[in-house]
Amino acid sequence: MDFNYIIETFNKTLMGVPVTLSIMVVALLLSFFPALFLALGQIYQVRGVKTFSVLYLAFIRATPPILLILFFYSLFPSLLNQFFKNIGSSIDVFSLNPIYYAFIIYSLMTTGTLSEILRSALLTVDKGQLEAAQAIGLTVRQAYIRIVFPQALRFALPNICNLVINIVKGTSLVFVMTIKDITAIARVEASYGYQYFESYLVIFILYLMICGLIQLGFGILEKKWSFA
Amino acid sequence: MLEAKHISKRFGERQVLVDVNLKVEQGDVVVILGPSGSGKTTFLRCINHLEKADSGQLVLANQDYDLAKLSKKDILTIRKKTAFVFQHYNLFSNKTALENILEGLVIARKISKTESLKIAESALEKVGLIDYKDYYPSQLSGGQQQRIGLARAIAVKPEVILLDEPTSALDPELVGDVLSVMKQLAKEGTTMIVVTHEMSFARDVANHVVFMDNGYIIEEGHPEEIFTRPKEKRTQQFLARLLSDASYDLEYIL
Repeated sequence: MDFNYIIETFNKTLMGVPVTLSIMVVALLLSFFPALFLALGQIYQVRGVKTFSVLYLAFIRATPPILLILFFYSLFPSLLNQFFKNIGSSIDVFSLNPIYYAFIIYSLMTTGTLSEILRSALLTVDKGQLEAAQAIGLTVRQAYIRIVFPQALRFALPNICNLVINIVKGTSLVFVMTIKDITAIARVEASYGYQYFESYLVIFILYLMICGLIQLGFGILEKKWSFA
Repeated sequence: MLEAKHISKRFGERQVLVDVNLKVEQGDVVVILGPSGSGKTTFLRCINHLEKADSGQLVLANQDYDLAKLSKKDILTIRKKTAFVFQHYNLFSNKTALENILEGLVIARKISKTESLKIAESALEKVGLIDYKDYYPSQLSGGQQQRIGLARAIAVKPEVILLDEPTSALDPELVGDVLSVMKQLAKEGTTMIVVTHEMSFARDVANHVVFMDNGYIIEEGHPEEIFTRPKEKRTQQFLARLLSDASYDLEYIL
């Protein structure tokens, strides 16, 4: 094994970490409120929202991530380009940084999972908590923000940890879109000298470290918010 | 002080409250008795709109409300003038004992932090749990949690405290602590409406007892009257069964 090569590749691959993490963070941020909206819509049986979220979940669950990537990266820009051409706009769709497509794709996928996580977490909060908050004079909004959501979020933490790790690992597919994330950089490095074993080892170690840190972070959060 | 008039409520096919009327004066301790499913809890919940009555009026602190058509503002006003103590305590599990009490003061009533802290601490002192102010509900026994629930209720200085079976979820040996706090409150002139099965409390502390069955108020009056000379057959049956079920209570009460 070529240790110098491993260290060198490791350092180069580190450049992909912010890319990987930014997709994860943006996906979480963009999906949080839509997911909450869908979850509440399902719980309170809001007519349109409930139907929409059931359909949305069914579709997004059944779609392989790679298919979404191929659609948004290969087909969607061409359609968009055609559209802009037709309305006489001079916007060059193909000059767009492909990471924006990644943001969209991973947000769409995360919304589905997160809404289910939030829905089940909200259902675990005893109805008496909301009633007590209202009885004491809080508005429904205050009761949710101060009492129900914190408890639901606390309950959801282990599942959210799982989700975050799955997004991070899932982003390894974005090399298909020429985005230079961890996996993409290491693969390119490998192909120079055919040192695939070392490169794959680097990928493995990096994901191990990132996911380890995420678990550690969530572990600390869980302890801090144990309410005991 | 508080008057409920012609309150009716149905859940689907079942009529749970039929034209229920109740008048409560300042300092009264009203105990509502009755078999389960008689509508006692629903009646209590209709007063502060945790349950929406189908029809009925409420007079509270010289204000008239139509319970079937309350605005959001009216609901908030009623809730700020009342306090509710739950059978299962319902302390906010993400808040400490002290924070549980502060919530209704700082957030709902916009009382300053320092003032609220003073009120909350004296309420905790009153229920004998000031040493537990930084404990979360999960770290407290049922009896302690219910006493915090009482402290949360008295801290907001409500016109009336509504207590829904405050001791029925407790281990027998913890009931006494909660009852003694309730007795203390009654002595201090706190107005309370209590749904309970604690016959000794009803007899010793209440000054008005209401017996409900099937959504109707069957009989009401002074505890001594109700317990020693119940007029209605249904009341006699209920009391006889309750007292024979708990024979140790029988000697105490009669």
